Amino acid sequence: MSQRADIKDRIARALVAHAARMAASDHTDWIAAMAHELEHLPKSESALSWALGSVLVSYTGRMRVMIRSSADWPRWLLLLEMLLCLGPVTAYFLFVSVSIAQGYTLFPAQGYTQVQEGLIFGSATLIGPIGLVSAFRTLFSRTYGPGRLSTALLWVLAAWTLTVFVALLVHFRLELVAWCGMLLPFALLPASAVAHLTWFGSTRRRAVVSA
Amino acid sequence: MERNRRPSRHTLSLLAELAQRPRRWHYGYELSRITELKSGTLYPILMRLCERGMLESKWQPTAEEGRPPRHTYRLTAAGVVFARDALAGRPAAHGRTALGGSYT
Repeated sequence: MSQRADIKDRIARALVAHAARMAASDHTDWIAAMAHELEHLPKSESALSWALGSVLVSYTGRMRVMIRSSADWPRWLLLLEMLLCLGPVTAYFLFVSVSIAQGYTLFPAQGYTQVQEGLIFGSATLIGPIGLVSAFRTLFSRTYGPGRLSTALLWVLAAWTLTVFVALLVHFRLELVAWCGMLLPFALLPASAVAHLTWFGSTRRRAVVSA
Repeated sequence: MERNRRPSRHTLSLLAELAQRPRRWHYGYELSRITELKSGTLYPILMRLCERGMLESKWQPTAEEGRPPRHTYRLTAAGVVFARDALAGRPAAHGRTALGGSYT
């Protein structure tokens, strides 16, 4: 076996071992099945691709268990999660709104008009208030969950938020710290809240369907 | 009202392969090679089929020295009926859904 193939083989084994460690308890047998199958792959086959598949299966299973268990979380904890995820972007939305209303521009050196800034940053942070309203309705109602249309709208807004903030970071050539400081609270956390709301919505729709 | 979604094309290609020789035990790699599904796509489908009683699995020791046992799969009786219905494009006659919309 060539040195390169040997390294790939080792990486594949390490990945499968990692997948086994990360697997949810009801998936361990399946990850073991994938790990054992790796030992039977012909040499010409890509063990690496097989091993990456096992990591994907393991992570997906683990995430599913985590999300499923969140249905049993107390409401205050879910509320705290939503506030943490959507609070910063909502605060930024309010800041943009107040600034524009008072006649300030956010980036005077860039030469944008107030309307341009309002449109860009207002829409990019709109996920905050809309997401919070949806979250409050979901958490304080026994039956409501965002429908397919609302979910799609939330995802479009989350994607737009991410696009605007990435464009901003690239445009201003900001450093890694700024990337973390902006992307996490203003784009990634809202997206994770939307993911959780999507799950709630689909669970409640299923409950209504089967009732 | 029950939702009856048609299984995805990945699921259908797997069912087609399993239904060809329903009494034979199949290996994961063999199924992956024939259906051209990556392991990360194939195994979640196998897992859901097993969960819903369409597939049975067992560990099978190998004759090759120093090699670990392999997980093998075959359709159950309900799975054979389901596979035939799904491949013929008929809605499933089973419990909840035609293996759900979550199939990828």
